Amino acid sequence: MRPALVLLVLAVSLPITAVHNITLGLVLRSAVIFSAIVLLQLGIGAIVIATAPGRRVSFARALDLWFAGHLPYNLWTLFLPFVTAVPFGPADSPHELMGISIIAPFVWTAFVVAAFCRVVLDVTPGGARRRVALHMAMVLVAGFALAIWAAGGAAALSSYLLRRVNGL
Amino acid sequence: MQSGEFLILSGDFHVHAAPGDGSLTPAALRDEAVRAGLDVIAVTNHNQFVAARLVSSLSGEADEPLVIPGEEVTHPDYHLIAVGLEHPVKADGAVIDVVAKIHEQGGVAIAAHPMHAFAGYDDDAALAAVDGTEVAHPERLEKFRREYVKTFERARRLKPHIAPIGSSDFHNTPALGQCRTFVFVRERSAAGVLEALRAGRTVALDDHGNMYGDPSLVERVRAAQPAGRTDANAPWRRLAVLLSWCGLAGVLVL
Repeated sequence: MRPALVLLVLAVSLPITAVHNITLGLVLRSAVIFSAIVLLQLGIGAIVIATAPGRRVSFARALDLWFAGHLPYNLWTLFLPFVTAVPFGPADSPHELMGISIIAPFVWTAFVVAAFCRVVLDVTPGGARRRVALHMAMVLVAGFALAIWAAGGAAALSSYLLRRVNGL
Repeated sequence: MQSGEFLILSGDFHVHAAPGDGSLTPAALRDEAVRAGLDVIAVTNHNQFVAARLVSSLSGEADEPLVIPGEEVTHPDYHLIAVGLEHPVKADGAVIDVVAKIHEQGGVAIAAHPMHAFAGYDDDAALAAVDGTEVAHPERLEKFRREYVKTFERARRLKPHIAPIGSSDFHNTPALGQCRTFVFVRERSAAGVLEALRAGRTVALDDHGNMYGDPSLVERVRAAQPAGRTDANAPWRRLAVLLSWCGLAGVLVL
């Protein structure tokens, strides 16, 4: 149920962010595309949960609860339509704000995952910290891999960003 | 709209789609193109053809905007829009070599946001090889905008019929068609659009209302008064957006 909610948030919020419009067609097409993000989170969650065989709940229940920890990213996704609707600052470009603001859910999620590991997976504080590190590493690797793929390769991305920074 | 022997189409030839670094699928982009008052768009993701391949699955209704598969060939030294591709082009080698590969497929090559720091366009032969240059782009830095205009002026001196191009470089912000290209086509088809681009029968429009191109074509565009964004159901659309967002926030809170 919770993975479906995450998918709904993405499928509704991202088209609104992009075109300030919402139709059933937009939601359905977005749901198909962005289900990849939910599957990625499922995979990362499954790895973290699998490292704790002594947990008190079933694997499926733990996975569902894992998605409760997606709240910071859900709230950030809900915030995105405002980023593109309201001009922030003289630059009037939402991409920087999108990029910088994602740090907030990333950091918040670390605390959520730590609590999840302690309560749901029933691991020690040290074990929770290790799993938080594992989770953050997987999110960063997956995130950068997606960004590099979408930007046309690491060299193309880095050279373009460098030119933008030099141009400022 | 008709203008003498030509039909003037409104196009955006630099649009990113999902899957890739765009938010919308090609089908969703086509729907949005209607609202943006566009007759033709090109799907051009960075060095990949996944979204462009989806274009062939779209139905080809006569009154719907044309969607042309393409790619933004992305190299550390240049970005090059390829419109009208059948398969992807690799971003290896100099501009002139990549342009040749695009032409082999019957595609059209456009210098994308050609800022001064892109060394690939320093060579006159490279700039003269492309079919068009992006002169109107919703770039927020004036410095870069001036560089796009300078590159276009240089390109025009090298190749007088080079096509001025205006595009939105749409990714995930509401700018589809914000800058656009008016194309003087003989027939309303992808082939007709590509032929007009190759012949340089275009006028670029930026987001400040400035037009670039052959003065006689600019005059014809002004006389034709092409429709811009057509958002007939704006109040209902805003209400739907508001209700959807509030509904979603409510579900999250509960």
